[in-house]
Parts: sequence; structure tokens; C-alpha cells
Amino acid sequence: MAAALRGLAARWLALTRRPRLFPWDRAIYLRKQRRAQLRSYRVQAEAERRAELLLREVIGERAFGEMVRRGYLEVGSSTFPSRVYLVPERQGPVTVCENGRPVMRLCVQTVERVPDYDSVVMHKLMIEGNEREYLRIANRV
Amino acid sequence: MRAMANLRVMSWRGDTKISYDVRKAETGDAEQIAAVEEAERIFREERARGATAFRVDGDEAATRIDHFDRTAEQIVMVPRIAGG
Repeated sequence: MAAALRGLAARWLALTRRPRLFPWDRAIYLRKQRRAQLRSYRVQAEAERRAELLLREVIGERAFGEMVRRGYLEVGSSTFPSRVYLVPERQGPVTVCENGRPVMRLCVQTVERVPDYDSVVMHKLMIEGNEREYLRIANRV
Repeated sequence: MRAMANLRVMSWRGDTKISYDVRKAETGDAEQIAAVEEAERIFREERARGATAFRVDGDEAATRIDHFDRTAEQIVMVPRIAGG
């Protein structure tokens, strides 16, 4: 019985024991981790750059400049003539204005994470081309 | 119809751009026929995953499309959305 328990304990220890890192191993591990982190930053920066190019193409240079200055993009409603949607430059709730006055805030996001400027493109396209579906999905906040 | 058209698919990596020349494809250019077919395949795949497709032509307002439109200057595919 005791031998069986000792055997089980030894097996458990063998399974759960983490290999000891020597200082040089640790240095290699940290260097690899730092490289992975830098790679991830580069991928993120590249994604943001591409998203900015797409947004500039979709809304035009002038509207892009205005959006950066104001912090939001104005998108007119095709269904309700007096309505304007203010889409924030960074991901966040969209303010709905009617006759120049804010009436509600809507929260809509992509299921898959996308860069901030891609999110602005998503709001603009959905409002222009699929407003009813956009309003159906949106949560009022 | 412009010669070069683009299909742009949004993802966490920014957008992926697939360019194809419909005119050359119509004249029988094998490379461009393959490019158009590949764009159509990606379009169908993304639609099946719940993405919404929009036709974007210059300064005109975007329009939603359900089928691959060869005459579109640019098609942008937005991933599935949900209320936040």
C-alpha cells in the first residue's frame, strides 16, 4: 500500500514538476518572449496602418482630416432625413443626433476584433447601406 | 466599369486586399480568371461566416450586396456585428 502511494506520489511529482530554468536558459526564454512581443506590436501597427488607408479611401482625404480634427465622423441617415450619426474615431458608442440634438447612443461592434479605423468604416458602411439592420442589432446605451 | 477591382476583407490584421481585372478575365486571361474566381470564393466563404458585403464606388453611398458583383469598383466585407 505504502509503495503504491509512493509510486503515485512520484508520478504526480514527475507530471507536475516544472523544469528548472538555469540563468542562461532564462535569458534565452526572456529574449524569445521579448521578440514575440515586438512581433505582436509590429502586426498591430501594420493592421492600424492598413485600416487607416482603407478609411482614407472610403471617406476621402478631406473627411478623414475633419474626422481627426473633431474626433468623430458624421454619417447622414438615408432613412431619416433629420438624423446624423456621430461615429467616434476610436471604438465606442455612436451618438445619434436629430435636428442637431443628441437623442440616443448606440453600441455596435464587430464580433471579431478589428482596428479602430476599420470599426469607423464598418459603422459608415452599415449606416449607409444597411441602416435598418444596424438599428435592429444596436444596443441603446 | 473600371478595369481593376478590389475585394477587401476586414479582420484583426487590418484588411486583406484581393485585386482582379474583370476586363482581362473577360478576354480570357487565365491569371485574371483565376483571380476573379478566387475573389468569388473568398466572398462566398465570408458571407457564410456571417460577414456583410458592401459595394463602394467612389463618392457614392455604399450599397449592401448579397452576391458577388463583378461590376463593382470595390467590395468591402465587414465581419459579423453584434450589439455591444
